[in-house]
Amino acid sequence: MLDATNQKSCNASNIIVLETDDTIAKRLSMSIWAKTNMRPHVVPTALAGIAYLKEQRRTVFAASVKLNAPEANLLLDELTRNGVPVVAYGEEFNQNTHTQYSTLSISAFIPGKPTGMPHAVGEALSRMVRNRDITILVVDDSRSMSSALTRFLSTRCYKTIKASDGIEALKQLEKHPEIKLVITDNEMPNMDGFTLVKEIRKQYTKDDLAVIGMSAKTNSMLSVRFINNGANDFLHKPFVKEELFCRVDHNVEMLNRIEIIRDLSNKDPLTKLYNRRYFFDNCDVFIADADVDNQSITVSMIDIDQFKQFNDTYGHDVGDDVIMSVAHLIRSEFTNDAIVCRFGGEEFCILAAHSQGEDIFARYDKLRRKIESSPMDVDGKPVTVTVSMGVCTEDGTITDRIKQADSRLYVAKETGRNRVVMA
Amino acid sequence: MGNGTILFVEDSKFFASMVQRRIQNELGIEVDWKATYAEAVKAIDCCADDYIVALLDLTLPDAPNGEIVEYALKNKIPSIIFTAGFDDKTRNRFLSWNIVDYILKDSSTCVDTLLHAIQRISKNRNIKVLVVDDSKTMRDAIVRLLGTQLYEVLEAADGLEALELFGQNPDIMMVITDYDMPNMDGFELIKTLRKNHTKNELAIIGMSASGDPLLSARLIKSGANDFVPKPFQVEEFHCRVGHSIEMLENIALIKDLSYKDPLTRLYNRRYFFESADTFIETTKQKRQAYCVAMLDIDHFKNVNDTYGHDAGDEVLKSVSSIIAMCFPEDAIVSRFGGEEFCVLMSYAPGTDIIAPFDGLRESIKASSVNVDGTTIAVTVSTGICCEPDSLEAMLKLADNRLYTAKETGRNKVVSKPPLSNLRDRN
Repeated sequence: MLDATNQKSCNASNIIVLETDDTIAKRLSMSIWAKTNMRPHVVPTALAGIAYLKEQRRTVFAASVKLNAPEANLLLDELTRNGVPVVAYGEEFNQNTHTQYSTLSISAFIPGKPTGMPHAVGEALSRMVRNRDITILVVDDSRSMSSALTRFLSTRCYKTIKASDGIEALKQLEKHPEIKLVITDNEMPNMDGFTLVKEIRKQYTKDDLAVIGMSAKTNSMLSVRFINNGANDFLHKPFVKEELFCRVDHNVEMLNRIEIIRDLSNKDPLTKLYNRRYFFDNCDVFIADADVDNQSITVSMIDIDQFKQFNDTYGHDVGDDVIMSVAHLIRSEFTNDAIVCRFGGEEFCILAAHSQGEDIFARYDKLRRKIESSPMDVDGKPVTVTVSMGVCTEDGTITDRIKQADSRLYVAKETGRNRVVMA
Repeated sequence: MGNGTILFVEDSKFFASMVQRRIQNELGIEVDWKATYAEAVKAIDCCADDYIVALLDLTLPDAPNGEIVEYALKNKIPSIIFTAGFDDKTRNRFLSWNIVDYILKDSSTCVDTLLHAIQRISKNRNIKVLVVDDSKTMRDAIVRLLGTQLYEVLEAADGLEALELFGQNPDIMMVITDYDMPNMDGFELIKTLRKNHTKNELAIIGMSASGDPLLSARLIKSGANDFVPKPFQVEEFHCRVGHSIEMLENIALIKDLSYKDPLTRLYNRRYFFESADTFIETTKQKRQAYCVAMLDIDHFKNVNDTYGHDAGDEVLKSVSSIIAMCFPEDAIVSRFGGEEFCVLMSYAPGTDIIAPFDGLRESIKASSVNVDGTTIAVTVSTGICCEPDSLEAMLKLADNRLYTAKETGRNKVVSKPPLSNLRDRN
């Protein structure tokens, strides 16, 4: 079940900013806008903030609150009541403030002086914006524990899904492939946490799906066993909110970075299509999978017609725009059932799988027509872009297939361009 | 870690050959496999120094009680243990040894974990960690743990001492600090370090006490990347330390990947434009002159069309490496896209700046690229601008001169106006 708490506010796009000092408010607003692209709405008093919240509840994503502003507590209560996550600043972090604010919907607490504060507030909010795309599975048979966890996580705008034991967790994982992180207890009926981690690791690597095991402080051997069984991390119970956030954020960031590294190594920076290396490293597996599914394979070479003229006439920047636009159109026609790659310059290569009976020529020709009928906007003037394609439908090694497609591309170019040659 | 070999002692031939194959394929490290204790001892007696790490099965037919581990450790070979059985008693034995890690054979990820551990320790030798704690006992324990993973470790007894050591060793990657210390406590130390080093540059782990959960929260708020409550289990400690180090490595890798062209390893356009201003500023402060050059491989499209993209890539790589070697290390040598390169470099005013570019032209002409037995000849055209102006204007001028070089026969360097005029102007 998808947890609905805060879901509403996490889709909105206004941020309430309670700050009494004009100059600081301005700096805060700029930082928030730059980092989140959300509209900061500055309120000089807590009461003005409450009024705005009542009026605009649906559009409020989060709030930034100066804790030592007069009557800030009233606004904090109202925000908490409405489930709006808050980034707080303006006081030191200590036992006092911690106790005072621990029950409120405070997502991040920025202690210290205002010099770096606007930056830190912007960062915290932008993290919340990114978190909206991240789904966490919470596995615990104790309802109160899993409710507390999901409540904490939702103050940071994470999406959460609950499961009450290992078996249910595995089912949820299958149903929701978007899950990035699993937080699991150990002692549960039907299937315990250790077994769950072991089962998860048969299918997902640590780089694809992170697991945090929860263990009791009284028995830290539990965390040892979680680690040995393949958990990425562990969390001792009981924990304070900051400990949970530290663990969760670290693991989510770790996965994000690994994904960025993969993209940087496998994709062309301009078009975000796969690069040649990825293409050649993965074509064999792709073809083998298609064989298993009884699909037929085509390899096609696509080249933008008279591309050099774009570069020479309008400059490299327009040339880049043309390449990006064509790349985008190719990807819109060939998605999951193909590896679409930029071979270099203005040349693309597609390795595609087709179901039996599919009209392959029609599919490629549809792409050709789509490109022809999507003119580029160059300085306000429409400029038509066309491509030539050579398609190889025959079996053979990948090198042979590419060669065949390439010689058909040559024929397409020689016989007038803007056409698909398949035989 | 050099080009050493991995000693692998394991009696199951099936498991051994699988692990051996994966290590050789994925890490490119040679594996010396021994099936018995006797054979392994002989290998260690002969060539202990050749082994960078030993992978040891705890139970061997002729040595069922981990004798091989003690023998390898006695010969100072970093050791990773494989074990099928695991209980508190086995674990206590592992902890009493100075081993790198132990790996449970029954887990589906055990070979992945192993490869990861080998990679980890080969990197750790170049990673400096500073341990700050006023308790000598605690410090010794942590230093020992980091030592098993081959980190280079420095020690300080309080915050002040830590700052002093940090000044002498700016390449420290991680600080592990206690919170309660004389002179300067952990919170102060973290705050001071954070003034000049972000969480993405320097990892700080605070040691808290598990009795007070708020301590971890305070350490994080002060700027620690992470915390380890005392007392801790060894595995927990390694998990935290490993994560933080990997975080820094991933950030550095992302930076590198986003600023460098993957094919030629030269800087990309983005890096050029992001760092050009600072470069020019520094050059001016040093009272040096600077120039911008645009270079383009002649008839490159012919190479691609005639010999294919792979050959084209080889040509790009070869030309790039010649260009990279030709300029001082601080020059920004970048690939702008396709077959086009841009160099921003500083030089002593009055020196002949055309000569090195002409020398570069010569060396590229003299080089040739061999692809599948075919020799491909390569030349470049170059346009240089040394007249100080806005970067944009200088690039444009250099580009125009590159065009002139192409129009007037290629394989040449164009740099009008001549250097003598420039000197007069200065």
